[in-house]
Parts: sequence; structure tokens; C-alpha cells
Amino acid sequence: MSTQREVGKTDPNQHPRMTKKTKKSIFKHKHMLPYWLILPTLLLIGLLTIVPLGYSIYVSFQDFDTFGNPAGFTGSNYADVLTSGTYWNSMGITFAYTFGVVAIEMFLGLVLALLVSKDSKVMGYLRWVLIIPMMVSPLVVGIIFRLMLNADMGIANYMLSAIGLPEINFLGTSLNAFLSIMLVDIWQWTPMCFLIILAGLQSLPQDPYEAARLDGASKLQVLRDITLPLLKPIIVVALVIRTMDALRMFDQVFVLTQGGPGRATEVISFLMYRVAMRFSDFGYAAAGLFILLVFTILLSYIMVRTLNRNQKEGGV
Amino acid sequence: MENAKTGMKAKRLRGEIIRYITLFGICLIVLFPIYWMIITSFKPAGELFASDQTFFPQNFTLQYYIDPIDGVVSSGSPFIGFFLNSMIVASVSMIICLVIGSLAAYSLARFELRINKNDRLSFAILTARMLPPIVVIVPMYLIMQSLGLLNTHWAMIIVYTGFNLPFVVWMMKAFFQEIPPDLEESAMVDGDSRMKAFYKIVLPLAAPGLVATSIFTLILTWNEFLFAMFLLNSADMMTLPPGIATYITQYETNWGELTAAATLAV
Repeated sequence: MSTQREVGKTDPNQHPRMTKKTKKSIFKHKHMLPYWLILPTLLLIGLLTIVPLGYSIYVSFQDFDTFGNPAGFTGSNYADVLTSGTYWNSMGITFAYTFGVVAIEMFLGLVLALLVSKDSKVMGYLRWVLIIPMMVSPLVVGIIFRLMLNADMGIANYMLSAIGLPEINFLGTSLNAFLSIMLVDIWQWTPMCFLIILAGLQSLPQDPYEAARLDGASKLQVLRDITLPLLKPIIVVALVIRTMDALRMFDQVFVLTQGGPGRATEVISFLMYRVAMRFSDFGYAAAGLFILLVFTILLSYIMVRTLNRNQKEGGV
Repeated sequence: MENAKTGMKAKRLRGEIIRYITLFGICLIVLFPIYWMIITSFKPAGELFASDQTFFPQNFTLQYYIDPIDGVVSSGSPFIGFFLNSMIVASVSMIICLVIGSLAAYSLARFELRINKNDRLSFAILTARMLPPIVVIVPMYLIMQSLGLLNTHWAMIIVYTGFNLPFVVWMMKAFFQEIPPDLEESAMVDGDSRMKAFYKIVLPLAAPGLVATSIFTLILTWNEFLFAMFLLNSADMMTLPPGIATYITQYETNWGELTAAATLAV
């Protein structure tokens, strides 16, 4: 049985029934076939990621006139970006936003996953309901909340005043608008963290729980000393995916605030959209995005490293 | 002893009740916004702006659903066009993705490639998925411009295919690895070529995986807004997300049409 399972992996040499002869006829004779199979994929991915990435470095060193035509080489794009208050303002907003939503979503996702982790029919239905938000287009979600949070006719303010609380101008002031954008993101993407963590919970080994039960550990102890350490790898996955997504959030800002009021919610992707599409300053946008990429890679590297190290030190 | 046991039971029961009440509340929070959108799309204009909000429309109207399909919208262009554009872009890119991606996945799952030592190639492919698309959006725009593909379905199909491919390769690779290779080998012993065995035996067995993967890619493509916003600017070509966004104009928001379109898009 165990050899059978290994066969499923990539190593054809371990196949028990494959004699030297058949191996030759199948794998050696047509040894180019696997390369032909994978070639289109590599070509397409190369064309659509590596080429644009290289081109974006090239563009980031180019000057563009007001009509969006290239006008010679310059290093000033990077200088412009790095000294621009608008750019760092957007960076600050983007990172504050990302840390805020990811932290809250991970916590809520974990709580939700623990709440429904028991297997039963009702729980099965509940899980389906809970992941609905992530299936809805972010744009549509933005529209729904724009409708609900509308200061004059929105249902949110109507309900607030119905229970005797003062109305809130959800999108009107800087802080409120920022928090509203966060709220929308949390509504939509907590389900994703929930889903990933739930999948992790369900694949945990049962033995440590048995042992803990025999030792008479409390529920909180079990959670802290068994569940969380075991879940760490899957939590890292959810964390990295959500961080990458939150850093490039665009749709909700586009629909809800257009970066306003002022520049209070102008996240980096929206700023770059404005710079590139309205002012045709492609060089500046490419430089700004390249710096963002460097930050993103650094951040994910740090996240994976710290969490991995903690895990090793924890020595589950 | 008996007392302690019933005490424990009561405590557990109370815990269960609290758990279900919490979950019920959370479901309300999850479902209410969607309910509100659907309800709003049925409310006549007078009720939309009424100072007394109602949780159920007093008078149903289908006006917003009928109008967009006739193409009589106060701003923007017909909904049905956006819908068809989305269908074309999403389905064509999904098919290309599945064909190319599953071939590559099969190659990675079954053969020892010299360029794939320690799964290095697989991880390189995954890294392409991790790259934030926003970073390549400016060069992509300029490339599409110079190819004359701006504002065409092809631009969207190419971009979406490229971004979904890594995902398809990883999903399908996992599914192929679960299928024991014996089956193909016995087919090959019977005289089929490797590709025929793949087509006749492996693909049908991986059908559930194919379906799951295609649903995921469809959802991703269907909801994508940023690239569509950059690469499409005429209303004839727009997919649903940027199309719906045209309902929000600088000065007014056509809530009825907007919510109707959004409801249909979901």
C-alpha cells in the first residue's frame, strides 16, 4: 500500500511494476513529451509576468509627456516618487489598512472556524452561508455598502437613529471613511480566512486531543497549546494570501470613496490608477508600483520567516 | 455524582445555545447586505428615498430589470452587453487555461523533469500567482496599446489566462497525483499512446477536479475589476464589473438600476 502511494508522486523510478525495459520504452523514447506539455504554460506565464515586469522597470526610467508619449530617459521618476508626500501618504494608508484588516480578519476567521468546526448537518449549511461574501464581486460589495452607508438615505443611519443613537457620516470624515473601507473588507474577506483555517482544523491529527483529554486539560489550554501551534502553517498561508490581496485593494475604494475625503482613503493602487489613467504619467506609476513590489516581497518574506522560526522554537 | 453529571450537561447545553445564537447573529450580518441589495432593486423610486426605510418593498417594481435589457438606461450602456462580454471573456479564458494548464499539470505530476528538481519549477509557477497584478498593470497597458489590443476581448482573455494559469496548474497537479498511474500504464500496454491514455483515462477520472478548477477560475474572472478598468474603455467591450461601475456617475447614482444590475451579476 505504501509503495502504491509513493507512485502517485513524481518519481517514476519507484514504480514497482515497471521493469527497466518498459521504463525505457515509455520514458526514454518520448523523453521530450513532458517538456512539450509544459512549454505553453511556461511561455504564457513568462510572457505575462516576467516580460511586463522587465518592461515596467524600463518604463519606470522613462519620462512621459502630458499625452502619455515616452520622451527620453530619466532617473527622476524614482526621485519623484520617493520624495512625494502623496506617495508616502498612500503607502501609509495602504499598510495601516492592510495590518488592520488582516489582523481582525484572522482573529474573526479563527473564532468562526472554531465555532462551526463540529461536524453536523446544521454546521454544514452554516459553513455555506458564511462563505457567501467572498463569492460576491468586490465591486458589488462596494456598491451594497455605498448604498447602506449613505449618509442621507442609508439603512445604517436609519437603524442607528431608530435605536436612539446619533447618526454617523460614514464616508464623510477621514477617519470614518477609512474605518468604513476596513469594515467592508472585513465583511467580505473574513470568510476566506475562515475557510482556510477551517480546512486546516479539519485535517489536524486527533491523537494530541485524546492525550490532552486524558490529562484533563481545559478547553482554553487545548486551544493555546495544541490547536494554535498545529495550525501555524495554515495560518501563515492565510496571512500571506490576505496580505497580498489587501495590499492591492482597489474596487471598494473606487466605488465607495474615490480616495476621498481629500486623500484619506487613497490606497496605493488607487493613486497609481489616477496617476496612470488620468495624468498619463506612466513612468511615475511604474516606479511607484515597483517600489511597492519590493515592499510586498520583503513583507511576505519577513512574515514567512518569523512565523517559521517561532514554530521551530515552539517545538510542538 | 449524578448531580455533577447533570450540572455538566446543563453547562454544555448552555454553551451550545450561546454558540447557535452567536452563529445565527453572524449569519444575519452576512446575509443582510445581500438581502438589502436585492430588496432595493425592487423598490420604486419614491420608496428608495423615503425617510421611512422599509425592510420589504411596499410596491414591487420590475422596472429596473426590464429597462437595462431594453437598453433604456439613463446613463451607460445596456446591461445585456456587459453580461455577454463577461461570458465571452470568462469562458474563453477558462477553456484556454484548462487545456494548457492541465497539460502542464500532467507533465509536472507524472514526469521527472530535469528543470523541476525539488519542485523548483512548480514553485516558480506559484510565485507568478503571488505577484500582485497591480505591479504589471502599467506595462500591460502599454504593451496592449502597442499591440493594438486595447479595448478588445483578446486583451482581457490573454491577461486572465496568464493570471489564472498558475492556479490551474497547481490545482490540477494535485488532482492528477491522486490518480494511480497504473491505469494509464495498462492502457499504454494495450497499445494506446501516452496522450491517448491521458485523454481517455486520466481526464475523465479528474473530472471533479476539472469542474472545481473551472468554477474557481470563472469566479475570479467574473469578478475582476482592476484590469478590466484599465484595459477596456468603450462601453461595447466592457465586462460586468466596469460596466456596472458606469452606473455610478459623478453627480448621481442610479440606485435602482445599479442594484438590479448588481443582483443579476451575482
